[in-house]
Amino acid sequence: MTRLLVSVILTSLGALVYGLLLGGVSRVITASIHGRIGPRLTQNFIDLWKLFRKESSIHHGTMFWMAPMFRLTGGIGVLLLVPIIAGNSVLTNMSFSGDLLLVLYFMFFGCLGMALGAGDSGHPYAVVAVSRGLLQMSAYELSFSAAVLVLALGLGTFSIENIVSAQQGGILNWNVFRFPFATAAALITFLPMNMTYPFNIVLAPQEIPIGPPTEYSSRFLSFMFSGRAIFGVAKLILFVNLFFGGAGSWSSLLIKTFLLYMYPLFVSPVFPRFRTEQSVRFLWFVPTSLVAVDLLRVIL
Amino acid sequence: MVTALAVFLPLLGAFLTAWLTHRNERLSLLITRLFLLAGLAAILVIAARLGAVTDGGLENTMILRTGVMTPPLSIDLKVTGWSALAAVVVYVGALLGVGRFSGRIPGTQPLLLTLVTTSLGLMFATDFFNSFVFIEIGSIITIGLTAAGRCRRRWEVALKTAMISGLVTILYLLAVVIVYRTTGELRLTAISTMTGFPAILVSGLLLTVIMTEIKAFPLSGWGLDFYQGVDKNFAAVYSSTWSLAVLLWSARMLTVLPLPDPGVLARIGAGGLVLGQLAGLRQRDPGRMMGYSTSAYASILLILAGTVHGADYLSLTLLFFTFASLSKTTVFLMADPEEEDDPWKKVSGYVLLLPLLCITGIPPFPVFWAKIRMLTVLADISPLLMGAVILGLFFESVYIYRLWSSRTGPWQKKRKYFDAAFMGAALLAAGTVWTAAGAEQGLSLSGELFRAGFVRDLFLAIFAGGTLLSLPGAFRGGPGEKSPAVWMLVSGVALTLLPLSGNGLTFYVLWEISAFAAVIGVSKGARPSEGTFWFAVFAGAAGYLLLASLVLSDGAVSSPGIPMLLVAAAALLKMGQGGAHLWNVRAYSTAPSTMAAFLSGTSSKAAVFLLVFSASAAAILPLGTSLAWIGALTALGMAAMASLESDYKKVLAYASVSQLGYVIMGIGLTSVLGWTAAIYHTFNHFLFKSILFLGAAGVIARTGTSDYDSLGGLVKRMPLTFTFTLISVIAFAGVPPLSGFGSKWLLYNALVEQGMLPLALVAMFASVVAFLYAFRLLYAVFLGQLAPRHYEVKEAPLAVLAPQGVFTAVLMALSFRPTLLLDRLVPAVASIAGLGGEIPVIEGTALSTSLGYWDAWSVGMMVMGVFGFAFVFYWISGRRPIHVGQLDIGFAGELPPSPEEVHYAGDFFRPFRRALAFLPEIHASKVFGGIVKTADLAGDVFRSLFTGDARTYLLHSLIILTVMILWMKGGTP
Amino acid sequence: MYCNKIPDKPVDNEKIWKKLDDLARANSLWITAYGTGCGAIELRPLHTSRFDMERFGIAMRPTPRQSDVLIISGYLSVKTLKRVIRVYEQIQDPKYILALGSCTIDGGMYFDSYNTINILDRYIPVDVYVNGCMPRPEAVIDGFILLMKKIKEGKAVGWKRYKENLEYYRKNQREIIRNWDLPDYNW
Repeated sequence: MTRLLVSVILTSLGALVYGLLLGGVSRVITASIHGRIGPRLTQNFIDLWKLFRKESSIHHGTMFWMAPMFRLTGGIGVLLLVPIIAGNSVLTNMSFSGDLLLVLYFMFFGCLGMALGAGDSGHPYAVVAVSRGLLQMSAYELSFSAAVLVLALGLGTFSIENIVSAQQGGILNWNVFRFPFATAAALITFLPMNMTYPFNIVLAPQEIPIGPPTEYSSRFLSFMFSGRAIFGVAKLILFVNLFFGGAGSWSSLLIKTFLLYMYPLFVSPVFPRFRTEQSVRFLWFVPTSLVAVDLLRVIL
Repeated sequence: MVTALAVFLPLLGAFLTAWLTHRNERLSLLITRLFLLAGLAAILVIAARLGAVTDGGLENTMILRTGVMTPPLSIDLKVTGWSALAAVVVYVGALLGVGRFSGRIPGTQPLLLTLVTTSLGLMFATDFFNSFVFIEIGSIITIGLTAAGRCRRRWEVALKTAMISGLVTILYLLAVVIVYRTTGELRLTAISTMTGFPAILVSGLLLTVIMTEIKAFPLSGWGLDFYQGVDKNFAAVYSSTWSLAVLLWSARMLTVLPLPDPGVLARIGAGGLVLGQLAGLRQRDPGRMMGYSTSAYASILLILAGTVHGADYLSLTLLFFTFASLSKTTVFLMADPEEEDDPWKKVSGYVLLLPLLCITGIPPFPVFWAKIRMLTVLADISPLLMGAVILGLFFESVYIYRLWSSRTGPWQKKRKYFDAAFMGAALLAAGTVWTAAGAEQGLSLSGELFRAGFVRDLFLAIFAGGTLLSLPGAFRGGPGEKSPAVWMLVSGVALTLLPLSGNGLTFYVLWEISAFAAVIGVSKGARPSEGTFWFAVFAGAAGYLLLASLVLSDGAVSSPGIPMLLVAAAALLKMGQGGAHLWNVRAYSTAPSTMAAFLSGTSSKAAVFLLVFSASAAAILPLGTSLAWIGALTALGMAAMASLESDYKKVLAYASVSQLGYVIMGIGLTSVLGWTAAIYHTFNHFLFKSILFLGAAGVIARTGTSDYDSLGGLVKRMPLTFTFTLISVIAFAGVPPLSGFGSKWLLYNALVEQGMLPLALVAMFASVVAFLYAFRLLYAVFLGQLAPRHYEVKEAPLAVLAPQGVFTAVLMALSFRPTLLLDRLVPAVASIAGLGGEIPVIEGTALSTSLGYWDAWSVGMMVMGVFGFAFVFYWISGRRPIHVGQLDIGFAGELPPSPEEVHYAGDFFRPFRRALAFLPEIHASKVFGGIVKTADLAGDVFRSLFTGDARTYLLHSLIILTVMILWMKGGTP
Repeated sequence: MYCNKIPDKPVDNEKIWKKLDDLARANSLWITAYGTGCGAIELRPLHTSRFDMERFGIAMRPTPRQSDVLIISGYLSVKTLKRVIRVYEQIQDPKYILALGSCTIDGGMYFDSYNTINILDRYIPVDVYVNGCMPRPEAVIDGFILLMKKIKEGKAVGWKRYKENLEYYRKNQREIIRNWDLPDYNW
């Protein structure tokens, strides 16, 4: 029990640091693409601390108040439900309490909480963004869950650990090679999941002032930042586990997640933003038809 | 002596009143009543003496010879137990109607009394000539009474009736001449010995006469015009006297007609029933509707004559026609003849409903027992015939419901309709008594239905608990609503008894009672007519499907094949699946909110129960995949519809149908996992949909609106309602740690286990689309900006809040400890024979299959732990935030114009609508509109027969006569 | 509909974190993206690779709730002042104002206009002025560096001054804004 608690705390903190650091790296790389110098690598830590230590803040109601906690809980929860390093008994954290389906549905927890907070803020743009976000989520979840179901049926299990262990023994056993189309679809959905161009219709700063967190300030915002950073890491680990053979050691975990994190960076800077219905339709049809190929292979 | 009195007392009275009338109206009316009462007493004595009442001696006979000569030179009357009972109805009908009719139009008492005597005479007549006399007198009196009242329209009707009567007389006399010429006697029974062409000729002539007189389709045109145009209070008397007499005389005649094949009568009847009622579907005029209903009963008579024989025939005809006549009399009594457009305008639909339900044959009304008996007989002869009859009866019920459903306004002039209401209640009482008797007879529908066990107890708990908890809020209706409490209770009690019913018949009776009590409950809503009508139609359709299944399978609906298909269809209709959601949406949105909570939360589970229990796994297997697909597509489509809808209750209705789609999906899988998922989700759905609808009831009660655009921000005023709604929304969205996830987990395991990946995908997509309406519901009603007009809104009344609290407590317990339910559910489902697949393993709080695992308790603890930590950390890490006003938002430096303008709720998912634009718009309302239109068009073909011109009707009779004779001639060389 | 509370007077309590806080605040200046006047055009180049303000941790935020700095870019008309007051008060403490251009100091070339503000500091507390008409992006960056320096030294306390002297500022604001309809404090 104590070991579990320590592991949970360390995992969360580690994920927070790693997530913020990755964010810093991405900002630097984006700046380089623009031909700028860019911020410090630690800029996100500075921002987080500043927000956390702001002297005043406002709130609009109970749901508004609780939403950042929902967001944080959603992020940490997903992180804890995913086994981080295969075979490491400590770092499996809480993954004994549920399989991939649980993780899939638990990913909505933070989103729903966030959406409720945005709704409670009474700001129309926040809610416009929620409407967009929910629509887009419903669209990418279709192909993402399709990809996941293909894996589950193909490997005959919903357990993430079993999925990881099924990929051991050589790089060709990775699901990215076994189910290339499903993986491709999942990688496409990775973009809207991380709200990067061309799918960043939720936090569209030039259209709707940054969407759901419009009214959030100070410590609330710092909680949401942390939640988002942790959630991002959790998603990275999940993807690595599902499609890229899982992580056998710390080094492979860091390399794989880092590379996976870099992938949207090289896609997003060259795209403009979709309109909501364009994004939704794209996500309905393109990745889903990719999955359909693997789906047919699995069924037949 | 008593017999003579029973028949001729009214005639005596007629002479007396003929002298009195215009001298002393009151006295004349009193004397009329006295004579009728005396006659009634006499006929009751006769009926008792014949043993008709006590021993069911319908065939016991008593002959009354009035003259010294033999017939036809004197009048010989034969009274059987059967006709004596019918005569009682004649007297009762006349007694009921005389005050209303003769009291209004003076001078009609003598004719009315004579009509009674004539009717009795016709019923008791034994030979052709006597019958002719009575028919002649009866027709003339009918014409006279129709024309009474100095109204041009009535005269027109009278003229039509006279023309038809003329033709009938001619044809009848021709037949009599031929009979006398061939057999040499005039006894009615004499013709059964006839053979050859004369027999054919006589059969054709008499059949035409009968069909015209009893207004069977296609010779019912004049009857329609008659009921539309006649003085409605005269129609009340007419229905129970002359109309009944003619029906019963025809019933006797039809058995002795020397037809080459009596079965043809059934076919004529069934065809006429379907086509005639199809023509009546679009009928708007209430009087004409009753005409169509009469024509339906005429067709039923033909069917009975063609299929049923002996004692059964007597009891069935008696049951059908006496009670239908009495009901019709009751209906007409409530009419106000001065209102030409809608004579029932001022009547409350609730009073009107009793006789109307009796006419349509809903249990426990007596006609139901006749109907089900007739259908069992027909099912043995030809299922196709039975299907046609059920279809025709369904058509009839459609316009009857329309007649009723638009009349749910307040009931004016209460005293005036006391007798009619009393009669309706008497009908109900008679029906209940008959139900007791009918249940004894068993009707061979006694298949053992329900296995005792946990699953049955679970449904029992759902029905009883749902009823009890929905009830408190129902005592006070919302704005513009009346209290549906009584009907909810009736419906709920019937539902609760459902799992305990021992045989198919009891099940069906309880099912129908529950459904129609719910229909009445729905009609208590603020804008009831649309919803009530469609609910009644769909409930009626489901009922008829179930009935057909019961009859076809001798009460054991578990038999595979067609009965199972019918049961599945009934269950799907009841749950609004596969496009049948039309009624759910209309009924839930117009019903009182608590009634909607009851319907969606509790009552819809009856269909699940029907599927899970009355259908064995083996029977459902061939339908499994189709069921699962229907469920999946419904779940998806309805979720999308719910996202685009802007009415709180309609959204909940769509959501309800969508969620039940998962249940159907689970049942369709016919595996242990699938059924566990289905039943688990049923229980979940019961909990969260009750909470949602009760919450909506509270919101609507306080704000008076269910429109998203005018709600919003209510969390500030109704925090408890919001909390309950939030919990149930998280639950049905399937977000862990609340209980909705459990059903999803079980379902996906079941789907992947069966390798049904496309289905799983649709289900998953549906569950994600569910987020859209889930959030929108919470936001548009509770979050966002509170409109100033709702500043004074208070928390929902305790009567709906407390039940929500109870439901929420159960929901939370189930969320964190699903094993409380699953521990017993899994073994119970695993023990159901015929279910394949894996049995999930429960260890402690964890559930696992070969595919995956899930431990709700530890997930719950994790969420609580992390959330608690975050909360505490926030609390101690700095200053409290300041709670600002609702318009203190960063609005580009501007002051927001007003809360309403800042609240973004209407057309919330516009991009979704745009993204879906490539799909053709398929609305259930359009589909059903199309069906209705097609039926109308088809009906138009037959309706165009009824031109309203008596000469056309005469032509119809002649054509039918010719066709019939030619056809029978072809049949016998 | 609006919160009618008046903000508490700021209490100056030295905390252990103060140095670290000031350092973080100085290096993470988020600007409200609100062009109040002609000078807003000079802010755009700051994003570009030539000037690159992100290297100082400066970023644009579209909502006042999340930002620290409000830039008054050039002359401020009375009409805009009302909006500026609302935006400024909606920014969470600590918050700073960077006034761009000569107009904010003394009215500049519009000093005798009937509807421009001549001395901005009478209406909202300015932390750093950058003069010029218009100041070039380099000058704006210079202003930011000055602001960062002041923050690190704990001298950028315009927001405290504003709260302490709210009545004074309100009086001045109400004097000049004829159709005053703002709530007591714009939370």
